Amino acid sequence: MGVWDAFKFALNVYMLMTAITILVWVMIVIIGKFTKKG
Amino acid sequence: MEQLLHVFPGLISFSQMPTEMAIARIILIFVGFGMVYFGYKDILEPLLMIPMGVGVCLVNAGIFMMPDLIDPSKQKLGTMFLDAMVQTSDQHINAMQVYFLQPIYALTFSNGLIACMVFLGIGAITELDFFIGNPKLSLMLAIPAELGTFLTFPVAIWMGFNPKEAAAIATIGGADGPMVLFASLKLAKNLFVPISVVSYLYLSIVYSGYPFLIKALVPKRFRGIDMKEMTITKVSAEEKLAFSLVTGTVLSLLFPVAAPLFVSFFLGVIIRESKVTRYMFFADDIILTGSTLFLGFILGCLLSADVVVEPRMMKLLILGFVALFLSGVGGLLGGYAVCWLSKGKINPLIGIAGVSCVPSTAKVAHKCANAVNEEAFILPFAMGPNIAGVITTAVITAIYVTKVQLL
Repeated sequence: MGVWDAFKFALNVYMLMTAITILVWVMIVIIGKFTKKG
Repeated sequence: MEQLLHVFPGLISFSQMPTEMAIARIILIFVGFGMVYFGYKDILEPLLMIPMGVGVCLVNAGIFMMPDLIDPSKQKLGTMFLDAMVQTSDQHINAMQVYFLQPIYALTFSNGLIACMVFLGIGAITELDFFIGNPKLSLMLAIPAELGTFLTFPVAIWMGFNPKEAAAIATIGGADGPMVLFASLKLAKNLFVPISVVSYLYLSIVYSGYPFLIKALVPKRFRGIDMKEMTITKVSAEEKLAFSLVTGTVLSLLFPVAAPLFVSFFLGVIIRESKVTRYMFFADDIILTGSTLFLGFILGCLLSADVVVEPRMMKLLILGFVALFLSGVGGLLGGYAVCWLSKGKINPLIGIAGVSCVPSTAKVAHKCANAVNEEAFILPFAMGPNIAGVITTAVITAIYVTKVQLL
């Protein structure tokens, strides 16, 4: 694997992590709607 | 004189090994003394540095000529601690009869159980309020704080490591010890010892190292922002419990290979939120304390001279530094972004807490803010990105472990 390919691979991993992180945020918002507040 | 030396095989072992190894052994014994001293003085993390330093000292002192387990007709220099090189089941069983730490190593390190136990304990002491109370801010700060995990991968490839090794090294940027252990055991078992040792060494100096980075990159007027205008939303135990259960399930569904880590962390959180006091005591006082002790001690016992003279050790030291430096810079850049978006209400230092070394980086952020402005109490706000960082690090580690095996 070349350095440029490695960079693209790592960028891909990073973008996927960002997408999953947004999914986690969405889950927190949805769960917040269905549970009582503190 | 020679007969007298034979009474002390540890002394004679210095002449039975190459000179550079003998020198490395002596240096490591002093390094071990240093670890214990700095741990005792609270300059380095005492929970890890004290058992690790003791292990480093003793394992490099107690070397002598003994039968080779793999080929009993031969003799080799070894210790009575453990042999990390045994591979087959037979060798493991034989090693357990000889080395006193082999049962713990074979049953908790080789399969990543020790990382999961630490994670379970961390879950049990994690307060999710600050994170769930403000998830957007917390997650927004945790994403840039993974910059080191992202950029260290191509750098490691450039330095000659293969993709699996590079991915394991890159996880040091997440600053989460159990995650690095897990990734290196899954992806680069040959480099598991040096990667873990480098990672834990750097994690223990984050507390004293990051303040320099903060002072270099953040002017005083930003460091002193007190965040008094910000409030923390109260979160119910029910919401935290539901979040842990749903998120743990979804993440395990997406990344089955990292499910043991997710299940351990969220089980810890659920135990805490369920208020089952006996389990809370067991997870925190017994599991976390016991596994941290054995983690530190066994990592120390694995740091023998042959690991240090490994030609790639210097590269690992450089890459570990690069990973944590870039993550720190990324975290502060994220902090600047939210400071600008909030029109100066948010202290940019909470960005560095996104580097998920719980709770060290949050404490560093608070300490640096407090040093400039005594009224700045930013610890609760820093804990949000800190916990979010644990989740983003677990996610990025899971993605690396899954995707790199498909290459």
